[in-house]
Amino acid sequence: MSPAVQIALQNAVNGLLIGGTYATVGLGMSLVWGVLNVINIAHGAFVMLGAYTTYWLFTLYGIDPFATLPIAGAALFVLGYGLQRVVVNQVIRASFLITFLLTFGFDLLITNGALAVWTADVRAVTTAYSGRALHLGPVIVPAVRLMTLAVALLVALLLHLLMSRTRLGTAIRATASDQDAARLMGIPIGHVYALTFAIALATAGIAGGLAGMSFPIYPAMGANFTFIGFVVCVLGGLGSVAGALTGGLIFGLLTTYAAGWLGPNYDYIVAFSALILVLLVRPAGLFGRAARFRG
Amino acid sequence: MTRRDAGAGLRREPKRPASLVPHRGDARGLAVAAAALVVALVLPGLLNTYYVRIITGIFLFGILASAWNLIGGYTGYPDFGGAAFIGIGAYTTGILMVRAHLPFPAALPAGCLLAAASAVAMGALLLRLRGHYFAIATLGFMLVLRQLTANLELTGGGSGMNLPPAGDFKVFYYWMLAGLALAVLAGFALPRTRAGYAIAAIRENQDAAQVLGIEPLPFKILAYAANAFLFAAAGGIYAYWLTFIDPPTVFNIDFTVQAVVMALFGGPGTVLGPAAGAVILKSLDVTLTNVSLFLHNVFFGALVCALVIFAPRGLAELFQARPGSGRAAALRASIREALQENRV
Amino acid sequence: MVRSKSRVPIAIAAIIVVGALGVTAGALHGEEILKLGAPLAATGADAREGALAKQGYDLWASAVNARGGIKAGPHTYKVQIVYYDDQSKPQTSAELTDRLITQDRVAFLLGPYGSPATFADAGIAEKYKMPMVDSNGAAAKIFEQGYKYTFGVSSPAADYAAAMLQCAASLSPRPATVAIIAADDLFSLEVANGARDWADRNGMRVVYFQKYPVGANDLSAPFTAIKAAGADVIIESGHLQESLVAMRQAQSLEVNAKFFGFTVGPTTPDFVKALGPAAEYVFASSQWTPDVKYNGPLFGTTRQYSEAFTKRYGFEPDYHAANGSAGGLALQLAIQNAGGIDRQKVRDALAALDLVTFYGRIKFNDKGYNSYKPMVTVQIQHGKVVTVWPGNVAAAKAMYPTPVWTARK
Repeated sequence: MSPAVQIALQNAVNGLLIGGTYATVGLGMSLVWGVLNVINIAHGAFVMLGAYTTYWLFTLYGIDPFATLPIAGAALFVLGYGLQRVVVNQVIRASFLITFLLTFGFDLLITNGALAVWTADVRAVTTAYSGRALHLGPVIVPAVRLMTLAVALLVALLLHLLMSRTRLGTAIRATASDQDAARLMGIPIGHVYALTFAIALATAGIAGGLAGMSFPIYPAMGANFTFIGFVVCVLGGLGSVAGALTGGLIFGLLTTYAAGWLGPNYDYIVAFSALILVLLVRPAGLFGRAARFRG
Repeated sequence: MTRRDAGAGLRREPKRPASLVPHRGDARGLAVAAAALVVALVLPGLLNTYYVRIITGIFLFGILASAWNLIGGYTGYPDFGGAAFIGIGAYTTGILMVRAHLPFPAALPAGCLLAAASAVAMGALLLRLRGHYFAIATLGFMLVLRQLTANLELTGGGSGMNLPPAGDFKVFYYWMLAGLALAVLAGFALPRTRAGYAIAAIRENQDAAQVLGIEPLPFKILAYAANAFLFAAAGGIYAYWLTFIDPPTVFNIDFTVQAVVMALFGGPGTVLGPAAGAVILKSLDVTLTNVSLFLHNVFFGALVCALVIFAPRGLAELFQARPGSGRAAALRASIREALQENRV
Repeated sequence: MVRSKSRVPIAIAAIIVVGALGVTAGALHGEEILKLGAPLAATGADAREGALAKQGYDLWASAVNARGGIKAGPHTYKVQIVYYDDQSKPQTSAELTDRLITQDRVAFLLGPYGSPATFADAGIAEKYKMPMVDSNGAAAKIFEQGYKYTFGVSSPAADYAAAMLQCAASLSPRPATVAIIAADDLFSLEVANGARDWADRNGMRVVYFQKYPVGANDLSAPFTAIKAAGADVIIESGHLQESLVAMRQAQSLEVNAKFFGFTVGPTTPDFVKALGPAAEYVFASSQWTPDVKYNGPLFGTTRQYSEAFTKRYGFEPDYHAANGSAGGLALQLAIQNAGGIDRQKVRDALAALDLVTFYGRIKFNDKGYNSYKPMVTVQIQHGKVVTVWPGNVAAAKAMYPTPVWTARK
């Protein structure tokens, strides 16, 4: 196998693996954006909280990082429910700018709060199996990243089942579709919104835990993930699980190949040019609904 | 009814708007602005350089907030990539001064014009999108431009570039003041022109406006280009002031977000609101920075959250006196109303 | 309304009384305070390194105050450092520098952390003719502006690369190829270009040269390419966070090299803690390590400095802290030599300074930076940072070549 093909294959593997993490980040943001019509600028900050949860549980109690994921998810679920009910709900009907600014305020608070409490020290989660890899011919598949992708697929599957097979999922979709009609049908809107936000934050927490296993953990790490979330949402389409998953994988592949062929300093150029292109050609994204949610 | 009567009735209709239509309250607004301008002109002689520096920073954000208001507040298209134009202005000014040895007063307008031109080009594409999508696309545009700049030799790449050092700091103060005056003037003039009426219609209901025969895109581009021109002016002056610029410093989303917060805080539909918002919020930011080495951003974040929840329509509306009740009651009523309106 | 109106005069009176007490208290003590200004990053991207630099400054201040203060002619001054957080932003740093000079009326300036901030602050210092001792800004650009009032105690950026490559070249088998990857910022690029120049002039072939966005999280594509290119030496020029990403990715993608060299990262305690066994064998260049053997005023020997630092902070100092202490020390010696705190005299005393300290030789060339202090190369051995080059200060031999990843499990 020629070196060029080898590199291309390795990049493909790298791209898909990291795409799994990106997809999980995008899932939560897509849910909130599609259902609540809120762009959560602080989404990356919540991912960061998830990463720290995994870090502290692992460092203080020796719990395996993968086992901490449900805990991180649960903690952020509770946080998300509370936040939505108490704070976000105040502005849910306001203009897009208002909600944007509110979540921007959250981001400032959470990131700087984390900085104050945990300091700027850069941390990492290093387990015994952190360096292991599978060898598929000439291609190396790092073990942790592979498991991350598996978890990402699992979370996507669970979320899809939730949205399509459960009553809660139906209620959420109904509320997203037509809030007033849903209310008339007796659906408790406030509760549904809060649950949606909670679920979205739970996925952010899990995404954070996954990210923490592959990337350095520090308070400001969220900003990167917020951008990634945006792109994944737009690429894949809002409110769609399959969309977030596809968007994440495509974004992972795009940036990895851009970095490989043009240089790592071209990754944003390629990614965001693709983003703008998608927005112009198919604004709803790959899997999004053509109808606009609320302008 | 004879035709002549009908004609007479028709002739009594208001004429089509002249080039600038005055609005109610204009006289008072102009008086306030004029007074502020006079004060601003005199200040550098009275204060020491530290304060002059701070105020110049306030002017910078005043320009950004007022300019953003044109596209975001007045046209209803929330632009989150304004920093792209700051960068264009900064780097064009820098490159022309360093490589072409142009003096600053010549380099700056070139940067502004280039930014306006790129706004026309990008706007033709991006202004077809709406709401969230427009916001994300403009943000993407800014990030692409940032990385491009980091990859070019001409701009000094990631290492940044040095502009020739200027002499007296007061120079920047006056340039920024001029920029701010221009921005406020634009915010004043635009709604009072025919184009302004078209833009207002587009903001309220674009489809209806189109049915009425208003072709939205050229007007949106006009607002976007005006916004770009002003952002680039701020960027060019800022670059000269800083002397050293690099991509992350000028292509920085912080500028845009702060400008948006200030515009919203001050009142997005008003002329002086964004500038007032800039003054208040920037002063607060500086004060907080001095209070605590560590927690100033936390305070600011809490402040933004509180503002957004309790005063979503901005300071201007919050302090409009209601007939027959005191200030405090008016404040409470406004807050209550805001909460009711926005809750689910 | 009435209540608040009458509170104001009382408040003002209280402030005046307290202020008067404070002033008299200071005067009664008979000691004079020398205020120094330092706009240092406490938050933002450089927060970690800024904290280390602050520790260096504080250690110096307390050491000199414990001796009674700085003796300048007939006066003795206790040092008081005024810190402001520049949030790792150069423009904020410049504003704060202006504030320190005009509002707080500091006598002299101690430099911020990071080349961009130092560059911005140097311009302000120059405008006010205020001497500034730059301790943590090594980019050559700072010193190419013709500034007369900024003096840098640390070795310039290009030396970072030269030190590592010289060390590599001294090992056997001599490496022949080098891959260079750098963060896209002023300092890191200067180092990378310095590395490339050195390699070209000394017979090492550069097989990969790329820059990546500052704060990048994913370097898998560059490392895949480096692996395919097969380099003997990998030089990564960036900051702590990126060095962690790089090492992890090298490990998980099984990118092997005989010599891994990083500019910033390995000398901070976080590196070993975060990476565990993957941190072994990594080389780094350093302005200073506790192993160098120098002796000088105030702190005594390098070892004594190290012990004083460890006693106060609980861990060994890395070079960021030492830079800070050296900066303070240089200023102190200049003031002593000048016999007073006149800015012009102190500036001239700084320009004329030439002596050996715990940090090494401090002497400023005509551009204002210290080209007379050699850098050292360290390696992480058994979880500890050990000086391995040059030979006269090496505490141990370099462990070379780095074993392949599969052999390290």
